[in-house]
Amino acid sequence: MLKIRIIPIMLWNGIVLVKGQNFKNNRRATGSPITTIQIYNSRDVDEIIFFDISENEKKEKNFDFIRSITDCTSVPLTLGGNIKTVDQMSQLFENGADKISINSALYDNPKLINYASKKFGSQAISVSIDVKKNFNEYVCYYKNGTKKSDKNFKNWVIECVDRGAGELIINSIDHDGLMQGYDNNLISTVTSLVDVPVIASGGAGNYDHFYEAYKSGASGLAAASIFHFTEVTPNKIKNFLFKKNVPIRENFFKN
Amino acid sequence: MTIKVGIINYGIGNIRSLKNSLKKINIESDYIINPKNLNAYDKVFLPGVGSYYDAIKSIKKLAWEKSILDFCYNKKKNLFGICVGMQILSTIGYEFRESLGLNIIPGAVENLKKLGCTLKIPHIGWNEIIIKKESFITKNIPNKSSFYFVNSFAYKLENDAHLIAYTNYGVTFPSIIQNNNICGTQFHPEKSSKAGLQILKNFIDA
Repeated sequence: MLKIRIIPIMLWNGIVLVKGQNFKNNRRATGSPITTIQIYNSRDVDEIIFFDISENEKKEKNFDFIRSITDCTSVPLTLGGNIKTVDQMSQLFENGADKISINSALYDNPKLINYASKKFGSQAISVSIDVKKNFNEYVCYYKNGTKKSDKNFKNWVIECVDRGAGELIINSIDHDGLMQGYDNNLISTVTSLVDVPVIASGGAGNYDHFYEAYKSGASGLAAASIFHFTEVTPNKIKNFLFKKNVPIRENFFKN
Repeated sequence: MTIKVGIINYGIGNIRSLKNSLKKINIESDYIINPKNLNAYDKVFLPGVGSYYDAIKSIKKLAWEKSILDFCYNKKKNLFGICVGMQILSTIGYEFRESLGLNIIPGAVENLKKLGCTLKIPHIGWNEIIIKKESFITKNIPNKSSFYFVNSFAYKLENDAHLIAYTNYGVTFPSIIQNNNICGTQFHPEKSSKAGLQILKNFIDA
């Protein structure tokens, strides 16, 4: 049986790692990307997601920097942020990405999922969807939560998977950074619609939050603030979940 | 004596992460692009992602077959196939169309669905291995350790003696195989964190 993954998310603003609340990320710097990723890697985490949220869209990808990130990881690594073309994806894979996450570019060009999954295999294509509740309805946002989409949320989830997304990363803008728990209703809504793995993101603040999101159907439990700002590590969460009989990958060297 | 470690570069697979993982256990390795240079190496990796058909086509087109067989049979050196690199060690593969493999570890590579798996394909993520038989490759690896898999197809061994470990995903399939000096893993040791590095180290130390 496949294991439930605990996944640290890193947000890079082009200079340092940042973490804010409700997608407002300009407030709090949390450290150097390379040091942080080295620590996660040495702690034997299950997987890492790295999002480039720098807003200068014309900026060329800095592949020296990307290699310095990918070279120090020996676990699966997902890269996302400002990815618009299959060529850019090819370059990222060549420079060590294991999976690519796409988001904003899809609202104008949803076919990008088809092209990407055909070329690289759906297992390598992760679609990220940023969601906010407006008058009790889930609404998709993009461009770091600044633009509201016209797409119907449920239809969009299904469309992404039909087009070839191998996995969905569902980010709750409302819960982001508050550490008050995941949007479990959002997670169960998505997992009941599709059968690809769903990674829940936004809101993790204590051990029970991870368990609740697992119960809501998530295959991967992503978190940032709790790892940046508290003593809790991915391994502590794994130990907690393991005791609750969640299928967790036991760490190779127990310490 | 330092041993020379090589990674066969036949245009298939993310060989960069393998080279980086070897670096983490203090092993320098070269990409080998010319089959004629294969015998200059003591231990060689045959990586691979994508389809069986594309991989074996590329091996044959770039004239690797003869060199690999010579390396394995006449020189009796160690070769390690990873993922599709392991699969093409088989006799025959059925991805896209029937294609003949290197036939170093006899068996067939079939779709997991055809083998009886009713779970979602591809099988992707961390899964356990059950160790069936002792081997240098599983030294210091506790039974039921987890490794990172990405596969839709799986090996069906002709000879059970070649089975070192298997994995269960709706159906059981070989996850580590070995025939004397030749071995392979269905999972990606280079993406399997510390347990994966231990496997790579076992191969180099053997």
